[in-house]
Amino acid sequence: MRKLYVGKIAAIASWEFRRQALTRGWLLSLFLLPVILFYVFHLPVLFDIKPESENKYLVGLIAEEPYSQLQFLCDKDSGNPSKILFVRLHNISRTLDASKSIAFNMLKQGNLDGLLMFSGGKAQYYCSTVPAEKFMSELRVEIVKAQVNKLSFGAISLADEKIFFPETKVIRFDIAQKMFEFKTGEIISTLAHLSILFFMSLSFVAGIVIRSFQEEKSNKLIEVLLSSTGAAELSIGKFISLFCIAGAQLISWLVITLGLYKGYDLVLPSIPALALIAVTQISGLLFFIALYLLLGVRQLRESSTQFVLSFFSLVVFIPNIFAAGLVMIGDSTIVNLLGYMPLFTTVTTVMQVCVNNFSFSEMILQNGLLLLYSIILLYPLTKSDYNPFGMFGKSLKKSTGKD
Amino acid sequence: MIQFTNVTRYYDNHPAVKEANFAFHGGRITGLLGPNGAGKTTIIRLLLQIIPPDSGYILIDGVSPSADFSNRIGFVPEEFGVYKRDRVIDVFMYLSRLRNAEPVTARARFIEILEYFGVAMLIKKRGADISKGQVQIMQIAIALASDPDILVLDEPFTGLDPANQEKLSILIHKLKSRNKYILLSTHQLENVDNLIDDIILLDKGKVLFSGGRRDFSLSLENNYFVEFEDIPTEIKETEYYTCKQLTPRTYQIFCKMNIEFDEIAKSLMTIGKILVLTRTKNSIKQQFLKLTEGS
Repeated sequence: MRKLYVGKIAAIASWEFRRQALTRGWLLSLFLLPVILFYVFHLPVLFDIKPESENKYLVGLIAEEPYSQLQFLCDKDSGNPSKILFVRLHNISRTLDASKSIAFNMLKQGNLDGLLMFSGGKAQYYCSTVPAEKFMSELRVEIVKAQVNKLSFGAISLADEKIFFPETKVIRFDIAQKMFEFKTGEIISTLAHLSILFFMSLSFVAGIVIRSFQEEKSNKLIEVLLSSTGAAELSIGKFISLFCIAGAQLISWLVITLGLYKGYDLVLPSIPALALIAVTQISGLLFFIALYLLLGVRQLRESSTQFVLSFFSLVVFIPNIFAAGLVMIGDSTIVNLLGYMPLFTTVTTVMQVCVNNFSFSEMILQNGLLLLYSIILLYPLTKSDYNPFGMFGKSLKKSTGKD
Repeated sequence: MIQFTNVTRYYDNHPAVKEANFAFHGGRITGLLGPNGAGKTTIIRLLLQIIPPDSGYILIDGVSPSADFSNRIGFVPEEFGVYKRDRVIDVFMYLSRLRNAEPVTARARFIEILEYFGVAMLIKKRGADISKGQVQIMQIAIALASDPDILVLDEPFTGLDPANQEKLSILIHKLKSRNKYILLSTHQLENVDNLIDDIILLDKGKVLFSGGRRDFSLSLENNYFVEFEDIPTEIKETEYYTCKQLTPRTYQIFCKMNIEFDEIAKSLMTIGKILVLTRTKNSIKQQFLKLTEGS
């Protein structure tokens, strides 16, 4: 095996880093781009009028039977201030069990202060503010006072240890509903923002590599370099510089983005959700790079290559956004489906390897696979309450006044 | 001595170089000649170890090239480009580091060579701001600054004005006197006619000729210069020779095969009274064209 020269690798890495990273454009993108992206995605949310929720408790509500009665209470109570905001969660998913599961996750993540479940005239209340050892235990409470006509509501624990609802307890579904819609918008903005942040970061890095090799190949510098050092040293050096560039960029972007999220008190997804977003984007990008290597370099002219790359990046990117959205919603069956994504990307890549050239029919075939993959990812979403098409339909009806 | 033995290299099942056997030596300037697509660039890439041979082997002084062989080579590629955004001196320092050259000495030598060509001001310029000829000089300076043992020059005269072409020829001669290996690939045969000592002629991947410059010139039949006393009757092309009229009384005779001096004299005397008849050597260009005829 040929000996590797560490000094040469270091020289290549430092040269590449200096050339690719220490430019005005890159330094500007390092600090400005995450800020611009943040405001592009979150501006509507930031300008949205928030309900007066600062001093209120947000309690999730899941009712099996007496839902209509609670709805009645809500309707009678419009305009009455309260310290408790109830979020209707019983139809958050297709089944009551799934809704409960999601509600518990929200409680765990601190998105709710408490969770109240009605069943058979009794309530089960779960509160995230109690000590950790009692957190997961069930605290059974009874509704001791429910003066429907006077629009007051209270609950006390059976053991009489603690009153969980402070003073006046008035259910205000209308405000709670608004609050929930606000959160939905925020979640969608966040996932779209983080997805594109990952995707752009990875694309930037891939672009740097491609540019670097293309420049040296087109002006024959690559021959001079290869006459001075081995291909292994050249590749390793470039990889190290790339790693540094990508690392610096990702860290800068994440720090700035997290700072902005913190500053505006926006909810961040959990670490596993972030990891899954990263996986979906990395898979998409690997697919994108594989296509580039297999199609772009050898067989297509530059203009066609750019067209194909733009086309495929779009096709890969859109389902990835939705995939990230599914992760955020947290339905376990959908999350499992995401596991198949690398498989689909692998299948399409392998196909490309076998075909090893580019024609119209192959493009159709390839896009067919990507379409199939998109449908598989999108289908469960259409069945949930977050069906984007359904949501669009509802908002359309609302705006036109038709029911 | 650098020796190629039965070296073959394929590109997509097409042999770019086929069973090449030749050698070249230190202290001599070797011309690597051949028409387009003859395999010159492949020979250079094989020598530079950018690509390995599919079969055969290359020996440097009787042994396989060592891992640090690349540090001993200076290479001037054809149509060399530049890093447009970077300063010439920075590019040089980077490439010197890759050759493990001692930075202070290499830098001094680099500046010295630029000064020799009268372009010392290049050092602080960026790649985008220098001309094609200056790029060529920069590349020559980069290749020579690390004082390599083996110098591979691919079309080194391209883009240079006549004065700098002359300076480059002198520089190459100086390097030859220091016992360097010099492999020079070019199409500008007029420039190298009096420069090269040995020739490797390639065509369609095969080595047609490998040897000394003198042997190369004599490898085909010689030509003749004839001057008649009076304007002769028209000389027609025969099965033995063709001719080209230089003046009304002088002709260049190109023999199609080896013909004895007496034979050609007899033949020409039938046309007119001969004042002068001398044998002329083929130039490298003429020999090149003859040997690669039909390529």
